[in-house]
Amino acid sequence: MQSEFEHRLPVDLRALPALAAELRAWLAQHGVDAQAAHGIDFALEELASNCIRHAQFASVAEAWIGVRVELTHEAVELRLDDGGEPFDPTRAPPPPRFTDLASATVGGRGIPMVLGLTPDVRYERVNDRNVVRVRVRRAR
Amino acid sequence: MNLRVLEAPPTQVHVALDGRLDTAGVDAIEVKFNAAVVARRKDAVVDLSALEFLSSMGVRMLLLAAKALERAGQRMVLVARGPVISAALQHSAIDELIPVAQDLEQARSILAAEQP
Repeated sequence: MQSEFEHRLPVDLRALPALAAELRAWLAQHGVDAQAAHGIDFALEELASNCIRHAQFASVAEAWIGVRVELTHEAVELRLDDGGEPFDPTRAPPPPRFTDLASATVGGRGIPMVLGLTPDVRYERVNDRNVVRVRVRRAR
Repeated sequence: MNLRVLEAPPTQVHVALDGRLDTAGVDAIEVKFNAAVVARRKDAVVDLSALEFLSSMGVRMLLLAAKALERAGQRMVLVARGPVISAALQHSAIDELIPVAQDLEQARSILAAEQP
């Protein structure tokens, strides 16, 4: 069995919760285990919100994110694509290491969290679009 | 996203969060959280045991509150049990700065042990 979830997300943080809820329902409906579903849910939240906050788009018409989730027996794969400036999250510089609370910087934790929780993240630039794939194995 | 203020010793404040602490959840709860945790100027135990989801924005909210408490001479201890939230704390590295307890009793022990 193979199945797909495909949507176009506006570059607007207010649109993200509804899409994420729809994706969670779709994953549950297709019997995806909780751990794999959380990994995909987490990657969508962090990568899409990061793009919405920081990506520069050439025009309003370009300001959307393609969201596709593909399901096989073995894995769930989230594919996000956007027309912003090239940005490879797998090569993003890590935030400074924490040493103490007083000097701790508060931002920049999202991508390290994605790479830690869902390590199989791949990036490519295709037709002037950033394409990020996050693959999570399903419980057998 | 919900926040409950729990009964606590006079020198502490205990709050419990449940739901999704994602971008939308932080938007919904941050003002209430800061009023309950930071504004009271007491040591704080923040129970994340019933949290379903912790994003980097949630980590940011907790970290900002912990920094504000420290500036006022107070401390924060988190309570987290499940693998999902524990993994998020670990991969954000926030657990290197804010102690994480398994339960309320352990959180109180941490605060008692760190008493100046």
